[in-house]
Amino acid sequence: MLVAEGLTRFLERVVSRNPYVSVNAVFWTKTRPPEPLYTAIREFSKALSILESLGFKASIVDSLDLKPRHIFATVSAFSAELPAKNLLDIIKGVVELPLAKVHRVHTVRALLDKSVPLIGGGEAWKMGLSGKGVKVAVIDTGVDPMHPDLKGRVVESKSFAVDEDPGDYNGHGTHVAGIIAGAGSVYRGVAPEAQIINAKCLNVDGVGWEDDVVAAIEWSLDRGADVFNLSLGGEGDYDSLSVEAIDTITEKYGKVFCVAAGNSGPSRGTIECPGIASNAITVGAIDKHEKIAPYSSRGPSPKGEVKPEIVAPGGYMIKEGGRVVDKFEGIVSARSTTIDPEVLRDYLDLDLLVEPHYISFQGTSMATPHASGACALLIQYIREKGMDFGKQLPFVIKEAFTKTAVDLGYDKYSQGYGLISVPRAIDYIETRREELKKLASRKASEESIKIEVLKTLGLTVLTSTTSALVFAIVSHLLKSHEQQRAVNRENIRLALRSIILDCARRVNELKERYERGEISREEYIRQLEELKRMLDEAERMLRGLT
Amino acid sequence: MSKETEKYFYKLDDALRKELESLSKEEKIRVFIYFNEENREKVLSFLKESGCSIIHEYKFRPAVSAEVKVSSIPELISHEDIVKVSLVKRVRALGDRNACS
Repeated sequence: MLVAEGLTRFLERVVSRNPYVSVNAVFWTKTRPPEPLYTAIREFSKALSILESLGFKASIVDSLDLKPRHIFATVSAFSAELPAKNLLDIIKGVVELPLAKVHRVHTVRALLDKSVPLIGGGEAWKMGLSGKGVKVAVIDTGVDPMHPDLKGRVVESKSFAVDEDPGDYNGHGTHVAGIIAGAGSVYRGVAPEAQIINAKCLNVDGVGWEDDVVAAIEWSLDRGADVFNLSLGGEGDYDSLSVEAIDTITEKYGKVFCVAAGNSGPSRGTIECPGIASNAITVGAIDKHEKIAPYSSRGPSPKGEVKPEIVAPGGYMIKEGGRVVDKFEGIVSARSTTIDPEVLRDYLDLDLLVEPHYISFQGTSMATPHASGACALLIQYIREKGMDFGKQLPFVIKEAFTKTAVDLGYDKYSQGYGLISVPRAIDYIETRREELKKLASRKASEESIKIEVLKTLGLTVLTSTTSALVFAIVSHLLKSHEQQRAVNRENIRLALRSIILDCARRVNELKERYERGEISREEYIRQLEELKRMLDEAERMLRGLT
Repeated sequence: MSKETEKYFYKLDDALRKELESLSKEEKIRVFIYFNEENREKVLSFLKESGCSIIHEYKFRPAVSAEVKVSSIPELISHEDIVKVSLVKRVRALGDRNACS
């Protein structure tokens, strides 16, 4: 029989002080239980008969004072409570039982109870905020609607993952949904009354295709999602359709996107796609001691923007010898009841399970739903106060969170503007209502100018270069005198000429900087090529207008 | 690809070009196809006739994702209403057992 490392030592220490103190342990059996019994602690006789079928005589169970808590069926195991002395006897072989492995169940610590207050969730709850009436789309591996903490929360479900139904066989999506809207008493999510739209696009292995992600976003949009949680990422650039979908839907429909920064840190410039999207609230991770998690991807974005914009609790667990040292350094949240047995075995091997209904994960994936839940609380507040920012809502929310984030003392490409704070963001919105309305109307006029520019130029497909050029034209028109702001061919022509002159000036400056040794040859060539692409495109547009 | 279609190579994104180098003509690949909105119906029926299996049709912009044979790509990029063809990339969940250090 295998015994978890350090368990014998631990028990000897406990027994020397009080042999009858109760401990919880997980017992791996040699045969698989015929059925699960998660309520074994309350159904003793039924539990006893299941254990008997596994070769545990009732008299021995009784003499050991062994009280089964949960019997699992996806793995050959059950958990039970018993006096420390008796567990030591089992381990030392004094009592022989048909067991394969034993390890202790650690005391449950309420990590969501720690991470949610870290972002000021508790204070928002005291204000009566719970995310009520706000729909959050979880674009992920699916969500288990039968999880006790999520019952009645999941209002829509659809799978975009090939050959899989909307159930969560990986566990990632349910964990994310639990952080957003879990309504448990111990592991309570940030916005426990928010509704979840389950748009599954990642398969049992947690992997998917970008086109399925975009389809899942569109489908959720049609179902009235207010906030989109994307705890996913991969390779890609500004030409990626997922980036375009996020930027476009934010502007056109006024929706909020919270996207994971990525787990490719600590090197700079490691923000993943679609976390690079300008309009997304990109979220990095801190551990529970408010330190930046080493794995959290760092900015800037390829465009040079500050990314991540904010950080939130994502946990940080160290692994030694193939096992996690302390699972409670991760984020404990809802565990899907339908996890595939093979995936579950990996979780067991790492020792990530916490009670039958919870599991500990880490990653920017876990930080992101803290931000999504926070957005749900803020949206509820804005609605209840009768404020209407129209399509500018995502920009108002982003400004409120970035302007009020708590500085943790890291550089801006690690922590962005800092740790997200719900009460501070609420206070910001409350005290700057008028200012924010002006910001909303400025953004709205930028958007309408952009649409006019695109129409005049006949652009339907935007590449990263044309997108940057359109942005430059809009900025130029906005800076112009009132009479030159009108969007017509002549004013766009003037803007383009000015952009071309500016590009030429920047080419000369770049050359001088390179000759002075201020930038490397690689950086010089990269920036030069970018400027050349801008110049070529601007000249092409100018020819098209004349 | 023939010289005739080489002039349309600009419609392919870099990642797709790289991917195509390692694939045989008979293999299938998942791509995004961007087209002119005003000719949506024309493009969609062309894609169907060309044997492309459309996976998703998007509303927020004129584009579809599809599984296409490598050998049919020259024909796609030669179509006047198709403006860009790019590779559909993989994404993954950013937190679970694999995220443990």
